[in-house]
Amino acid sequence: MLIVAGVALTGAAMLSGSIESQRVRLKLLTVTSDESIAKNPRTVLLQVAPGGLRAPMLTYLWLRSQQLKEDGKFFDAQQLRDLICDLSPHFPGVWSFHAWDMAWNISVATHTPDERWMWVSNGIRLLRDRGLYYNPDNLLLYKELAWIYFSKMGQYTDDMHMVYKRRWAGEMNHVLGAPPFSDTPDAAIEAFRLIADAPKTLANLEKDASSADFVKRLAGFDVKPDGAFLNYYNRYSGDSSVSPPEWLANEPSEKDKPIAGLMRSVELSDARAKVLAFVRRKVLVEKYRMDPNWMLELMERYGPMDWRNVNSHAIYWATLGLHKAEGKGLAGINALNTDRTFLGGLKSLTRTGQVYCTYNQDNPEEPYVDFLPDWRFVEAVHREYLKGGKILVRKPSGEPGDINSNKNVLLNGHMTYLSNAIQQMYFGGHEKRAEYYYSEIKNTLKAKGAIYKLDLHAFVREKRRQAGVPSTEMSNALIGGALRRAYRALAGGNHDGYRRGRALARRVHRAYYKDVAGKARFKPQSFRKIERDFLIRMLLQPRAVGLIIPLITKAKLYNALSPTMQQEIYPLIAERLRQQCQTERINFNKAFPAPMSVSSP
Amino acid sequence: MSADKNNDDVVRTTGLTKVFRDFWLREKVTAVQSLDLNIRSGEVYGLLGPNGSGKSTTLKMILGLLYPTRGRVTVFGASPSDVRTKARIGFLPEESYLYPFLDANETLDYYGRLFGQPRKERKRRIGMLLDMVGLTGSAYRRIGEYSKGMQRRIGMAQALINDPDLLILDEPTSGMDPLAARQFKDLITELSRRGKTLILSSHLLADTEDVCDRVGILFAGQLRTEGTLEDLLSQASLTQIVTERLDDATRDAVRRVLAKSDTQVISIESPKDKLEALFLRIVRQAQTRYRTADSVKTGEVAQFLRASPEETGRKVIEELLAGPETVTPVTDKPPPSPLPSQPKPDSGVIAELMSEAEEAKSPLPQSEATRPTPKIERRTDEAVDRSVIDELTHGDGSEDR
Amino acid sequence: MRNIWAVTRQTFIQCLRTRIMVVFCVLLVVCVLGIGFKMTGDGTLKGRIQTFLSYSISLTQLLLCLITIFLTTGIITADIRHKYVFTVVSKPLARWQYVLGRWCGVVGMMGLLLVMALGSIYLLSQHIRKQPTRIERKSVSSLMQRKKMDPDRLGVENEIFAARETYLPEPPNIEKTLQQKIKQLIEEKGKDNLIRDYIKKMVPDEAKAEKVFDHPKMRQKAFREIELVLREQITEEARQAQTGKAIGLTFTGLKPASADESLLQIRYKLNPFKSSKTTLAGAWQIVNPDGPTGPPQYRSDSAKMTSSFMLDPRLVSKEGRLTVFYINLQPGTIVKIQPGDVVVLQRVGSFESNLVRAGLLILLRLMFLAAVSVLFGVFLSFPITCLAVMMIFTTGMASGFIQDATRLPKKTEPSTFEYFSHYLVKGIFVAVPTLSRTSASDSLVDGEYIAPKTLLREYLVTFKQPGTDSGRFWQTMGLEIQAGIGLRTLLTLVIGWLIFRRRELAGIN
Repeated sequence: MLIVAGVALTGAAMLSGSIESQRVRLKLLTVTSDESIAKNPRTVLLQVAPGGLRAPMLTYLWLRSQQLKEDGKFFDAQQLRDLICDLSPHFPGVWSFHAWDMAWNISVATHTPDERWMWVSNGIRLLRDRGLYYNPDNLLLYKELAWIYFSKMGQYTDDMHMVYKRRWAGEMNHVLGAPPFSDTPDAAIEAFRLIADAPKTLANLEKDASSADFVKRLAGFDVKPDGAFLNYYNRYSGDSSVSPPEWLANEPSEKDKPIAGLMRSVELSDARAKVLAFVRRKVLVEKYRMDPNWMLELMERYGPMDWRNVNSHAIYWATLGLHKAEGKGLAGINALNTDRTFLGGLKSLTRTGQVYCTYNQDNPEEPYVDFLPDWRFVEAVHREYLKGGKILVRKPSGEPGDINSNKNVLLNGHMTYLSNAIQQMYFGGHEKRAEYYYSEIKNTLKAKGAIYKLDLHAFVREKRRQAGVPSTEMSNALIGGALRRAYRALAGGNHDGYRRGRALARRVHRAYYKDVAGKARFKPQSFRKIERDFLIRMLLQPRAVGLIIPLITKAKLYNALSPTMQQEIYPLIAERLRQQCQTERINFNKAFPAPMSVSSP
Repeated sequence: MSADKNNDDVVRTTGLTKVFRDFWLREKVTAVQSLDLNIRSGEVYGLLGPNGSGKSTTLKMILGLLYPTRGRVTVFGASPSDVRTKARIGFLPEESYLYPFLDANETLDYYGRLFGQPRKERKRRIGMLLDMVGLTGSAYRRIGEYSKGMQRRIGMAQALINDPDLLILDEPTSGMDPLAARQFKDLITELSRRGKTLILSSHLLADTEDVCDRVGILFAGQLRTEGTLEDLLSQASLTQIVTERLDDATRDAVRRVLAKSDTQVISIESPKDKLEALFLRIVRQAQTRYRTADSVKTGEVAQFLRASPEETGRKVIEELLAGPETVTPVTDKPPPSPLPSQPKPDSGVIAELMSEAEEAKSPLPQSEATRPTPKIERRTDEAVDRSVIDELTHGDGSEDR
Repeated sequence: MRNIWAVTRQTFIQCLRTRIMVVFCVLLVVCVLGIGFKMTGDGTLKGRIQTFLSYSISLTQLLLCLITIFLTTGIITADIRHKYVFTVVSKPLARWQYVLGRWCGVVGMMGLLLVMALGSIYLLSQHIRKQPTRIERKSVSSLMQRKKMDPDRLGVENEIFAARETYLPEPPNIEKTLQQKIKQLIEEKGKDNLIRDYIKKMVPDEAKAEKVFDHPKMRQKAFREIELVLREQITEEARQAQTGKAIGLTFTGLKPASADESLLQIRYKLNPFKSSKTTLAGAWQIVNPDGPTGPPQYRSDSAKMTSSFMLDPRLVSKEGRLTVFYINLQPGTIVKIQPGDVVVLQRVGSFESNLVRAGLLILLRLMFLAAVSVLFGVFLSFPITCLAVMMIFTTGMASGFIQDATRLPKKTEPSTFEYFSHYLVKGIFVAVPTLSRTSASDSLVDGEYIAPKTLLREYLVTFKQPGTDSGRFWQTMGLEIQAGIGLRTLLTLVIGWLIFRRRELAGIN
């Protein structure tokens, strides 16, 4: 008996060795047992300790998690799911299910913004920090993660979608700040390159004498070059891409004065910038588990993505998944192999790509965020559509086929997209670009039909008439574009252009407002408020609306406004403009006289 | 109660039969068959028999641990499972069935509590009993750590905690060294003298013959013979003459005299000391020189154990106890009594003993009579000797026989 | 009495000196502390406390149950196996006294452990309660201003550290509607035609149907059935709301609004009827007949998921009535509210007193397990007793699940196996009590009041109206009696005693 048992045991031991090696070979294990033991003893313990009870235990946990969910009890939902996943770490379906369950089902069963965001981010974290750790090559997990960013957070079906967008923008604003704006994508990409190229380790950073010195100074305040540094930098550096103007007004506390000095010191600005890039890279890699080089590659290929935009992350995870799971480079990735996430994200970027964060006094974690269209992505989308279409119509022999054939299922979407982009650019004052894409529709896509025989103006008008009520993103884009055109004209003294632009914006708004009035989740604002906000932004942060306006032009614009509008915006802009006037030695009271009812201080 | 003692049988069994069955209720063993026993108040009854003869089973039926298959048992005229009956019984099982995680003190306390004794009384009794069995020094050691002999002693103490009228001892001296066994037997004698009824079972005849008034011999579940030791042991066909040492000439003369009367001489020899007696003597001597804490007092009977009247009893005990310490050194004179506990007769004590005996109308005179002196010489029974030797020397002492 | 106490006391000492006890106690301490400091729940303070309470209390209960089983079984079987019982029962100790003493000793010991465990759980929960919520943390570091209403803190104070009675709505009052409907039908068709139509529907054979109709008794019966069908139909309708329509629910017996502002919460679950909608828009309107009517609460909820919100306690009328309307605002969807899907919770007691009652509930289970262990221990060996008691324990704990799983299907004809398993399980639960009916941990986690009535039910008996699956006998009795766990414990002990009394303690040597 004993001998038989002994033989069986030995046999099993020998077999388990070979099973283990097969698992490694067949990629069933992405982290080898030894590695996981070294890295996560808890998981290994959970794999081994329950022995034969693992399956019943899993079943029980699974039942409990679903039962509690139905009862509206989520207190241990996350830990239960963690445990379930830990018990079956190499089963991607489990991770994907539970992340989805948390982000989509539990979140909507809660009623406060805090809880909603908590569950969505729990879903993200489960996949990103843990699921992908055990299954770094699994496409399913990447897709699920990208889908949360794109659909759950980026789209408009959830009545608290704005909460997710704002929270995410807040988080990323904290890490990366606003990218510099320019007409060409270069500035943003170059800014990000600093982060991607930053030293990977502290030792490497300290090879640079000035950085080492700065790190040493930080250590003097007991601050390490990590997330803690960002807290102080964002608060005291006066870097307007991260610090809201409200923070500048506050004097640092006595205790914080020395470190605030370090953050502001002009002599140390070079070293500080290097440390900043290092820290940002570090936080991206360690906390958000993102690869800055892949991010940079994406920006170089598709355009200056603003990482505060959830769509950028949808694109990141969708493409990274294909890269990791199938070894594809960006050149090999096309719209066809990522469901709708990749192309959808890119299209959304053309309508919401510019992110404008405003400090929220009541809840700094949830800044006010405005999204404005970013035409810089139009070309990328056009290119991707073409690329996908060409693949679709390619003949079996490999010869290129006719892009306009009915094999190209992307064609309709492509045309619609370009028509919308043309309108958007047209109303946004980029008529030349609009003209260019109009010609692309006609020549490259070989669009047939009477409407394409029209000239650009007539085409846009006809399109608008046909389309009726625009979508949310589209109407925001149109309203923003029309207002931009109107006030740019006004600043240049072109009252006719102003009237036409403003009238269009009003029309779009009216149509859209009527359409969504009953749907709480869209919470449309009154036109007056939209217009006022737009003006304030144009005067204070013109690059947020894609403009660079000298102070003198601002003064012209301000003085051309109606007295009521002046009255509304004056208290909100006076302080900031007064500062600008001081630095440019302009008499504020003459350039921006107080409106009638507001007495000049 | 006195009625019980004097007139009624304390234990009576009629046609007592016990058949053990197996799981399927098939009869397996008939352990006791049609046993009729009448144990009288105040007597020491020995239940003898080899292993498996049904002694224990009988005792357990008397205790109510087993139920008879047929027949009846009454104890003090009532059913054994009657709680009032049990209150008058003390039981020492054949092995130590005591909780190993309790110490001696707690053990006695527990059993005292089961009798519902008030706290003060319990404490008093525990102190005395521990003293009596010589475990005062180990009172706070767990019983699990005790040696077998110590466990027997604490077992005896628990059996006495309620000052029982009936004491049932199952193989009382098993696992004891001869010294302890002797003390034990003395204790039994003393208890009997105080009017307790005792039933003891043993397969060691030596245990019983010293102390029992009456014995019954069981074999294969049936009572083969029963009677007083006197009756059972006297060999009517033999006569033994004990004299001072005779020279050869005298011996021959005696032979001749006997031959004349046509009596066959079976043997003429010097009496040999019994090993048990020798051992006891030697140890006792040593003890007088190296007193150890526990063994010194061993043998003192706890005061609360009723006898009538108390005063006398204590004196007797004191006298009894004086024994080991005042034992006379071995002389070449053949010892008249191998019983070291028998002190040199002191007229006062004897007088008191006598008077007490008369007063209590206890069977003391009888036990005095059954006791010791004449019997020792008779103890030629091989089985007895061997068992003692075996236990003491592990078969090493055949030369002493 | 004294000798029972002696056995109890001795059992106490024995428990304290048993190694398994030490092992379990260490395990208990480690687990409770571990859960207290390691478990973070969902990240909110409320979630953390709930997770802590849930796991620590269920674990305490589980561990104590296991200790009880092992200890009792161990003590009893060792007594017999090692013959300790010889010396004990040869003393003036009746067998029942031994059984009772042993049981009391173990239960007392477990009670002591339970008090200690619950005490430390209580202290730890108070410690966690003092921790700052996320918002409080932020407001301390001045990153965020303290909100007037911190939902997390409110949740902790109102939903956990409270004892809230659950009120079910009154069944809808449909008598009037029913009578009207019947009257209307009779007026439309005439009573005889109504009955004839009904019988024809039931009995397709026309000749037979006529025969049935001719029988006046059958006619009466048919009319009663019509009434019954209508009643069900109307009740069902009262529980449904089409878009724009409302369902009214009345709760009675609540505490009227008082100065201490007893907290009031409504908890509900909505079922879309024949619709796959996952989100349901709706509004709640609370009406107080003699006071202010609250503003409607617009909410969008996940279908079939429980949700809740706080109500203004002043909405309860002086007679303790609260009327709630759910207005369905989801286009194209009918919302159905099953009985029990909407409840109102009102604070009626403190967390502390609830904890005590929860302790009594746990103790009851321990008492039962100890009794079962005694019962089997007096005639079986240690491993077999453990196994048997563990089986009863797990069966009792999973009773809800087991009974659900073996329920006879209503829509199809049950198979032989289904009959067999159904009646087998029914039979088992005649003897084995449902140990999971009132969960101590769930009650505490949710701050649900454990009413004295509940305790009484668990300890003694329940009389209830016979349910649909109770047998004919009970239906005729008009009453169903369910013995509580306490009663069963007593019964178990008595059976244990009877067995022990007849048990021969010594075998062949």
